[in-house]
Amino acid sequence: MILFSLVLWAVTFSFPSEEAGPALIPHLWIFWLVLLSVAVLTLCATGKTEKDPKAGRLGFLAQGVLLVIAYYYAIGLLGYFISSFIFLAVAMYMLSCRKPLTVVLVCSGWVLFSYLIFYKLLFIQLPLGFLENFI
Amino acid sequence: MDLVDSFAIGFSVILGWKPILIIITGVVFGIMAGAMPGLSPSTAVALLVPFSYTMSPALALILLTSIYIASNYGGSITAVLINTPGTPSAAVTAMDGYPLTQQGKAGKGLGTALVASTIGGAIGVLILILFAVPLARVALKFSPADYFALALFGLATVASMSRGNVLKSMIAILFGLLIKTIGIDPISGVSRFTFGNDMLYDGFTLIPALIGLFAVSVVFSKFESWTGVDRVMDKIDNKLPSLQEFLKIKFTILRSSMIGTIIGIFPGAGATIAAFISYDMSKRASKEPDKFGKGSLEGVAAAESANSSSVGGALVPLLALGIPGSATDAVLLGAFMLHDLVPGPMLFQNNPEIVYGIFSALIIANIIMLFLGLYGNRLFIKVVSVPESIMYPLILAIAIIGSFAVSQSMFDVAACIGFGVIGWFFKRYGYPVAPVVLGIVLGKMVEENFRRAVMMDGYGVFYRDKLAFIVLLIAFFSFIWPLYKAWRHHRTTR
Repeated sequence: MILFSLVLWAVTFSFPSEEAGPALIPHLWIFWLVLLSVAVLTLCATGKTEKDPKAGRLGFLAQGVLLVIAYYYAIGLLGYFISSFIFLAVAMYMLSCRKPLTVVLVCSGWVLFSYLIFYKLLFIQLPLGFLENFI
Repeated sequence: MDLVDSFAIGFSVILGWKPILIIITGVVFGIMAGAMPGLSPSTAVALLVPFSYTMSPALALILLTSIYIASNYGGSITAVLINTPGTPSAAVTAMDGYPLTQQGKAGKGLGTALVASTIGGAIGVLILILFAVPLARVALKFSPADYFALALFGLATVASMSRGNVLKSMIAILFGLLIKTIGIDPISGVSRFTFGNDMLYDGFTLIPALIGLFAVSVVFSKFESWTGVDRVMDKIDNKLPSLQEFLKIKFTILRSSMIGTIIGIFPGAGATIAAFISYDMSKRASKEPDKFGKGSLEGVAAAESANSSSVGGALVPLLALGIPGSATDAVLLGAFMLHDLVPGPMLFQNNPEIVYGIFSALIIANIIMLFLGLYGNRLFIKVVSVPESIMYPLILAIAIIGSFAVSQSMFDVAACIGFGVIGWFFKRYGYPVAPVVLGIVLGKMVEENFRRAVMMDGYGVFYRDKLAFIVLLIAFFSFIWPLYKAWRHHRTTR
């Protein structure tokens, strides 16, 4: 947080300096953010605050986040509908839902729902990938 | 235009098959989302904002407020049945609701929660109408300095009333405020912190940020604590309380509804604090205080009527002043902005059909909630029993499509995922995410009004303007008091 604030502080030097100008409010927030972050850091260093929680299944979490990021890129390549089907199937498998019929029903149900509601009813131009020529 | 004419306009907006269908949809979704542990009312509303994108502003806000009011009741279903509160405020309901289930009286617990929620919700709406309209009239005379002071007061109370570490809540607010400064400066037109990325010229789009912080972060936290075991719901009995039992708790419901609404009006207090305070007061006033915590219908009624009535209270500052009273109100404020509306006194003048449409919809939503609850609880229980291994992937899919739908941009999807990671990180280390959202939502109001006030009258305006000065003083003490209390507590424990 301190590092993030200091980077933004450095950027504010390029803003025009004037009274109540564009740098005023960012300076104000950054000042307090750094001050309070230092206070929290001091409390941690002196053992006056609660300890960090024990790490859970961080590897599993990383797999989940990577799966979501892969889903994001797959939408651009394969289109929304195909990538959503694959994403849901993989995510459900990851979370121990292994019944093939349930997986197929949920994935195709979501694809159908999103097609009817978002694409047809709300006219959201979802990326189609190679399906563009067919829909 | 008097109140009767205004209500005629409001009811004209909601009478028709389409608005009624939207209210029913909102209530059903709200109850189910509220009942799902891990999905708070703010998450439920945030997930549905993109669905409302192509609706008229009035219908969109009617849908979202219906979800808001129903999700507060929904939280009680799993609290009573499996001792797992669907919403934070339902934790108080579980204290007496679950013992009732253990005694084989789940139907009585659910019935009491439903009736208390309905009456509490109705009283909250009534007080909302009585308070919001005159407050909006007064607010028409507010200057930029007053608005700056009020927004700061809103942020201060949120920081001070948040449970746990006050310093961390303040850091979360400041982080949100700083995020809001990204983009073109609204006054000078200078580009700030965009690093040459044109997608950042308008800053981060609010709705993807909200969905990331509220919904995606919940799933990421669940991934970290995943045990691979889905929860199981037992078969329940469905016998409702008798009329005599309801009559015995009528004063508890009325008193708690009043307490809930009043607490809800104060920014940051919210449903959970309302439920705890009214539970405590009902226990003190009860003829049978020993039964509290062991399956008291009074206990369930006190908690539920207070948390439902706090919805009406929390909407008072949002609609009259444009200051969100809770995290869900911050999401609603985002929905207003999505439809190019600014809550506050001008909304009452320029768009009375929306304000009174919301009031009317809340009344109807309460009635619909009562009927759906009475006849549909068994169905809701089946639906919320959907395994988490299906529910969490679906939440991610809704979050992704929802964040794309707002401006049909993949950048927003990336931002949603990024905010999801930030939200998980914040939660993991004890930083609440609701203040981040409030900071993002109120950031523009704080900055614009502060700089306008300074440009017009110099820095002295904040002590020359009496209202601004008093509110700033209260805001200052709201920031300082919890810090002082924490310091005192630390000294005495040493």
